Amino acid sequence: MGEEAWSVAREAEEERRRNLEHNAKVLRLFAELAARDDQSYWQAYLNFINSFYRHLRRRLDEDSLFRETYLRVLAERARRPRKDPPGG
Amino acid sequence: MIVVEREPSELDRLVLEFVRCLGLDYVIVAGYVAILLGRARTTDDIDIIVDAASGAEVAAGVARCGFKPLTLDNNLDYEFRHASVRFFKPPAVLPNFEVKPPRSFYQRHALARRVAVSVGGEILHISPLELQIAYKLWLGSDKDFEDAVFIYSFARSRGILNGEELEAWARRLGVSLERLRRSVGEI
Repeated sequence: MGEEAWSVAREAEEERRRNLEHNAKVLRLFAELAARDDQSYWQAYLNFINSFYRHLRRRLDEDSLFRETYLRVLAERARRPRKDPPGG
Repeated sequence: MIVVEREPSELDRLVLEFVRCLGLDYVIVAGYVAILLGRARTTDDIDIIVDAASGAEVAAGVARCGFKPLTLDNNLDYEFRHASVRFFKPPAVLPNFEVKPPRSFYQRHALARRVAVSVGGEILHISPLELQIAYKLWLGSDKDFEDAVFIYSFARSRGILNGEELEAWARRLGVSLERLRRSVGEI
């Protein structure tokens, strides 16, 4: 790999780490709201989850290509090698 | 018991229906644990460890509620014993339930020491949080690390995290807790 490609890869990795650090901070705050049973947080959570699964069900009902593609993804995943934890 | 003061989501309702029909001892592991406790993310499968003698036993239970296996009947027992069997509720193949018997030490422990979570007054059983956090760290993807951060922060805020138990699981799995603790501002 050339120097330019290494530089791009390094930059992408740094960006990934920055995103991960940022996400961890946000997740900590959300987890604290959930742990306190903050009702505004729960409402937003329910809106997000319910909207997603309603949309998904609609797509699965209406779009045979979407459904077939997902079944192919599942078949691929079933062939994915899995690592075993130590001392398992 | 962990009590979550919210109404069940559509995903929770499907999971509650599945385990009710299952009629066997089970424990939920992996991504849905973080979602149930409040992480606003989605999943396309719910991983369940079931104390069942065969795939046919699981299939017979959940068939009462209309769940079907995503595999041929002839392969049910083989796939259950050696890998896992996915169940779905037609017409939707998503989300589905990936069901397997306890094979590893960790899975047997999770089943034996499962934790009850009450959501909308109904009960679901999940893996002990300390094991789940350490296991997620061992898996190591960004998504798994974020799930670990969420579960850890939730348990710490609720005052239900057993630090010694978490450290013991981390030692056994050969993972460090330092990055997790740094991410939540502990160190």
